[in-house]
Amino acid sequence: MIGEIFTLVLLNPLVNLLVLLSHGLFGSFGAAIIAFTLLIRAVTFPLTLRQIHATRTMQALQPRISEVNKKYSDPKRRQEEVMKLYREAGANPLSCIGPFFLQIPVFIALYSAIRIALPNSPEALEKLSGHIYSWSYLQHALPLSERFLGIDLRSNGDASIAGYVFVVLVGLTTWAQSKTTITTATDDKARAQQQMMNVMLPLMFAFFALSFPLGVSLYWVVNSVAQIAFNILTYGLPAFGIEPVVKARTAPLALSAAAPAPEAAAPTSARELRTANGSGRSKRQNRRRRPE
Amino acid sequence: MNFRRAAILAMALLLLPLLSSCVKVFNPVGWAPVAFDGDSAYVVTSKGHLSALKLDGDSATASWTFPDKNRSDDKKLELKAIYGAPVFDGDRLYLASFHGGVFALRKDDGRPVWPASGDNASKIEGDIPGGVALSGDNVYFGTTEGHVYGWKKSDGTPAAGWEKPKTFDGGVWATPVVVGDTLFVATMKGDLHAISLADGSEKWKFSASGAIADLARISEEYLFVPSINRHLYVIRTADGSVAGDFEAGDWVWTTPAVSGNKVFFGDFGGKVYGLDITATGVTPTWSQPASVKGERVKAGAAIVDDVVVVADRSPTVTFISAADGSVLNAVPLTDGDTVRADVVARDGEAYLVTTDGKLFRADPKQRRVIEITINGVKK
Repeated sequence: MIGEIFTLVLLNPLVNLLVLLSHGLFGSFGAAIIAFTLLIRAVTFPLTLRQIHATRTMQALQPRISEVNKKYSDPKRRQEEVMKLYREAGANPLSCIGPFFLQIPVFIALYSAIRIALPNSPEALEKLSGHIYSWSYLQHALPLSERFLGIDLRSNGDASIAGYVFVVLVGLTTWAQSKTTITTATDDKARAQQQMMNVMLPLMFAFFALSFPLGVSLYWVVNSVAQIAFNILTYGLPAFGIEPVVKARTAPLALSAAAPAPEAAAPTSARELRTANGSGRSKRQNRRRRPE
Repeated sequence: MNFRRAAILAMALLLLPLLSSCVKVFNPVGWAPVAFDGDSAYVVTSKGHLSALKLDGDSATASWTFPDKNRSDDKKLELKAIYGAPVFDGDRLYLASFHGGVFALRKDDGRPVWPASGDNASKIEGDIPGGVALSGDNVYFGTTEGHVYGWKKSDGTPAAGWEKPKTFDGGVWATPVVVGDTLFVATMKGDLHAISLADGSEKWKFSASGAIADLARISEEYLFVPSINRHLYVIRTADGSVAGDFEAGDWVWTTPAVSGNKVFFGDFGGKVYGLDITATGVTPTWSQPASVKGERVKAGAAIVDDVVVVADRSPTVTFISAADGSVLNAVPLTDGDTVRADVVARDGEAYLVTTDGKLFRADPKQRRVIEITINGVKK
């Protein structure tokens, strides 16, 4: 039942969209994957922007949440106070991961769609007939070419030299994505954990890429590059003196009025966004600066 | 990317194979039909394994199986799948495999004449999703990479004029067809090429509107050219002109049952059509196509005593009157996998093989289907 819904609602439209794009892009399935990825990024842009703002709001709240955590020992009361803070600030913790959740079914569907749209056997092409809509434009497009820039998009990452290049690219772009992404880490432990993840995640995804079709890895790389570009636009790149193009939305007035740490509540530079406490400062230092 | 998101994504990636397992992707299995030579039947009894059977009523006994895993020289052979029926010539049969190359086997014991040991896949670029065609001293076959090879039947070396394979734009999935001195090659790009066997030159080319995955000879005059974009072309062998362009309800990827100037075939939407071929074009034999309840028909039909025998993927064997298209009986095969291999007519009956290597005999007179028990297959 779930499989049928998944196929009907997500997989079939995706397979047909990829075939459509491929036919429109001179029969290049690789170009279709790139176009599809950029299309998905464009469609989810408002969600991504909302996620950025939500993350910034959450980040601004971190010092006050720390205060609440210290002030109240009763977990229930603590949770109530934190939720109150969220309400006052108009923040929703789940909104930070909304677009991210959206990406997971798309990724799973794409993984399946690539295996279906690029059949590796006559039986698989026969099966494809059950996924393709009856529009003649789509019917004429089949079978799709599995080659893109000389590589076989059906093959796994560990099947060729080109595959290993993609594995490295997956790792590199995931690392770059992590490095350019805002963080809400508030203490040394969290920062250490974050740094560890910045190394572990690219390695982990590169490992997964070994067993993924190269078409999926292509999607991952293009998606990561698009995210990196988006991150630079919104956070800037201080190491190269690049200022953010999309300015941060300031925290709500109610929150700002009571905000104990102005630099955390309304961060103005990318470097300050890296940690809620400001670059190189601890929570304790921040608390000392806070007006009584 | 923070820790929480990373953890969710990592979990999703770990679950990916599980979640996507609801989308089954098919590996090569093969759909070679049963082939008869004398009193022997040749059946793909398991994936990538051909067996010679002696038929005896409702049972059959295997005299040999190739590759024979009990033999040390066959242990490394990995044919993966067999899509085309073996073709017989003298005391040999010629067999194309999807991934293991082409073999000339002795009919009596199933041992290779060539290659002497191992396979010849390294001499072939691409996989072979069809069978072989014989003409004169040569054997011809096509590959997924768009190459057509012409090898000597005697020793499996390239024939004169075929030192290099002929290369086409698009994979060659359909078994090449020989009519007279012309080799017909269909491509997944949608082209049908007529190649002179005398000098290797191209006589003509016909371009269909979709990929051509199958190809069959109707007569000396006509070819059956199905396209996966629902069109079925009847092409004149002489000049490549279109004698008929029929639009089916769904993909046509099969070979037809031929009876005089009539052809019968099924489509992927579960419809079975009859067409009359005349000098002026093609016209439907029946007022309505026959139906096999919407089940995909990949297997080629057979015609026996004015009854069209069709096997679909469910799998069900349907007996259809060739005269008016009425369904005479439908017999589900309860003990077999799906049917993709062509149904073959022989001695007033029709034979079919399932993808799991079971052999059935359909009796058009009694409108019943009987499984033929196969014994002695080495697996």
